[in-house]
Amino acid sequence: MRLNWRNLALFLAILGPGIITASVDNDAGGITTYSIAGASFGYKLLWTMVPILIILIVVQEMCARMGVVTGKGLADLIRENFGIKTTFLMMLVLVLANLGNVVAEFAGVAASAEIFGISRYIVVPVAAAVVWWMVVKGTYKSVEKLFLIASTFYFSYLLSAVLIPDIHFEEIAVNAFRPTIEFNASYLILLIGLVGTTVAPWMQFFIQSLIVEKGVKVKDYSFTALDVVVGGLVTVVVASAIIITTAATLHANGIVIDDAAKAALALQPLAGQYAALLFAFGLFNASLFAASILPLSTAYSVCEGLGWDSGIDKKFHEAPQFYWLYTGLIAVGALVILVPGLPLIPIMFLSQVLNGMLLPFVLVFVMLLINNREIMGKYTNGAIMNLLGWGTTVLMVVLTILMVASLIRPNFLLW
Amino acid sequence: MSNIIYFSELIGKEVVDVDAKTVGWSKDFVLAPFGEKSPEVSHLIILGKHGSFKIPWKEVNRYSDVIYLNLPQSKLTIEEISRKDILLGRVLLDKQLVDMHGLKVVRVNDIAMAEVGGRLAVMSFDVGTKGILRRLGLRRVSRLLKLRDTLVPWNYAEPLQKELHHIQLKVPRHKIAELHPAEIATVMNELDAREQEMILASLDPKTAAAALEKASPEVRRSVIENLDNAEVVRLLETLPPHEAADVLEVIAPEKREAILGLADKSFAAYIKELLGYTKNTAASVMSNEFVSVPMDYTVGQTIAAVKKVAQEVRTIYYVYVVDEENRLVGLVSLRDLLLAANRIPIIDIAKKRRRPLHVNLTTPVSQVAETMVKYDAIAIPVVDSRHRLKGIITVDEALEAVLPPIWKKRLPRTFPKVSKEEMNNREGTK
Repeated sequence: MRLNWRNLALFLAILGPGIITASVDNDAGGITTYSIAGASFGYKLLWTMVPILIILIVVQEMCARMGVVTGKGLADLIRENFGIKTTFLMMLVLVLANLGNVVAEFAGVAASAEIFGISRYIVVPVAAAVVWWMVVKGTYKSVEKLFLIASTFYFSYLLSAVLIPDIHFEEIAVNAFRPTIEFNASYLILLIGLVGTTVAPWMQFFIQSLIVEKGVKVKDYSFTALDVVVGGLVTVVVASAIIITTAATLHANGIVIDDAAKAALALQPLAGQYAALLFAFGLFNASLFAASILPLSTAYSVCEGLGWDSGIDKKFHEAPQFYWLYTGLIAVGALVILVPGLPLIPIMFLSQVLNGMLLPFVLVFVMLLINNREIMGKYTNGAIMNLLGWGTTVLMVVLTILMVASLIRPNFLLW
Repeated sequence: MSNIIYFSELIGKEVVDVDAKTVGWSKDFVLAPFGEKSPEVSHLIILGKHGSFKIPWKEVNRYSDVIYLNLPQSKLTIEEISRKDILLGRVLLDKQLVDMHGLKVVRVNDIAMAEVGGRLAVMSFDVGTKGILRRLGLRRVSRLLKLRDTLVPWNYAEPLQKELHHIQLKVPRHKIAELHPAEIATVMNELDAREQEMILASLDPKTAAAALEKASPEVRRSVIENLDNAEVVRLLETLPPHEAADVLEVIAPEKREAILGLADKSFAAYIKELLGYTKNTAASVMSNEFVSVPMDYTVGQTIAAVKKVAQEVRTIYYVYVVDEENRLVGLVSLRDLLLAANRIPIIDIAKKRRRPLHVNLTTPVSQVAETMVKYDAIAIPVVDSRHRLKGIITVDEALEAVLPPIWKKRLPRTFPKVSKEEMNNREGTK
């Protein structure tokens, strides 16, 4: 593909699905998980970024490819090829995982509100109502641009990383490529959480729907692939920056993240006393952005799989299940956060661990579908993609089993 | 009255022969080739100890929780399933089809069947939640929720699977083709690119083009990009020029040029002219399909002229009278023509009417519509600065052009997704 104006224009036109997914990927759960990884283990988990990048690109590319070649969404394909019972289970998995995610988003809203000194009991219901209204009344599209622009907040992590006093570049570089595995529950949980927050189940459904909606043709596929790669890179670069900054600022000083303000300290090298405000702003934006997209995407996918009418262009009585699902997800998500005394940080983190545990369920079907010649024609997986895809699936299952085992019998893995 | 039994109630059941020995488990049905009548089951597919096989349906005696055969296992006509067999479940269950009545795409959750004249036939498709719950074994829940059946009868269903089209006996007129092009467009808006192509391919060019014109800009773009240019030209040439221009408007300029390059020269020229007019002026919605006669004609000659082009023009209700330079000098109505004697010069009839109502090329469409309402006109001629007759606007065009975009948004089935460009343009005329 040559570098010329026409190709650039085409790329920019087709660009979107990968980049948008990447921006939403770094949501409240993401920021929290990466921060905890850096704060708890310093640079020791940095090595996971490269493998996770590969997994992310591989999985997203497969779903994008399915969308381009079949012109159908993931839920649609699962329904047509595996029947209703499987689809029903898959939809349960998706709703469960995303309920966790939505709860995490509102936790992020609450946490950032508290940094600003406003009670969560005011901000969360208002935020829920605003998000619901924006999407249902169709003004989302205009706000999307705002969200995307505000997502440039993540650069502050990059800048902060650069501005860290006595930063040890060699230490970072070494750890970026040296795998260390500790067989204790907290390490394993973090591993699962890191994968889960970067390669969340909802993302597979989401990117495939975006591609289908865009109507990308097979001949333009290379642009989509590029979009996926760029999106993946953006996600992982930001994730790495968060880990590095929290490692250097929090871990180095033995600070544990038990509330959002502590996580904000990672931005001190950049913003000094304004670190908390900057962090709160970014967290708020990320949470709101994801809260607008995730419930909607879930509702679309479930209706697609179960054959119900969907679409915000339809009136309530024309698509009741769609609206109930969407509203229900937002309502329950917000309500959970309003339970008094709920610790926000663990919620944001554990929801991502849930993602990681549920990921293999979706991956199995993605792998089966992508290798189905009848639907993919000549665009099935090559050997390497299959190795990576199946490898990831098996890996996540193994990690989950190990983690559960180590939780039940902490001495199980200490050999 | 035959009882309805559902596919999900017949599949996965134990199949027992006349000696009460288990032969296997029911897996699917083979459909006999069918035409206009509903499809009937020719064979039952059974999963036995050594794999799947099929037996003729007439060897089934009766069924309830178990399927009872009327022969001992040794006497059954066991056959291998051939690749050409159409399996009801595999082809239709969980797949999408077009509900021709509700004009939308639905998904088959279950299939309602009934015994008709000793044969088991497909009656309708269960596309509702009740079907889902039944498949999941949660019938009690649907009773609790008091859900109603959502069934699409066989003759109102157009399956999207290619396999079914192959086995129909006569080449059937696809039911979709019997819909009004606007309805076809409504259905097409809900299909993906592949399915849109399939539908269009099954239509004749005229219907296909008409459906294309009514479809949303996104659908038009997607369809045209998938057809090769010669086919597009074939479709477009069946449309009135300004409708063809509408279709082409949403296509990228280079592709448009390529398509027009292949079209008839004068057709292409007129379309290019139409595309050049500012949006939302009279010129952009007018048509050049009207009847005009020279001012020296008689009534008789005029009527003959009308008859000659009656099929192709937008309206025969008004006939426009023009001079040698094609300037509009008058008009007559069909009523006038029918009531006058043939030998009377047309100009005499035209003179009896007031000066003909007209609008200019640059008149905003909203004003055209207002004028039509004010003067109870169903068509208005469009003239240029030299008063030459360039086209006419009929009331349906004016109506569509001015129907507020907000209305269109509220009627998404009829006016699918008003695009942002459209919305901005409409608002420009206010």
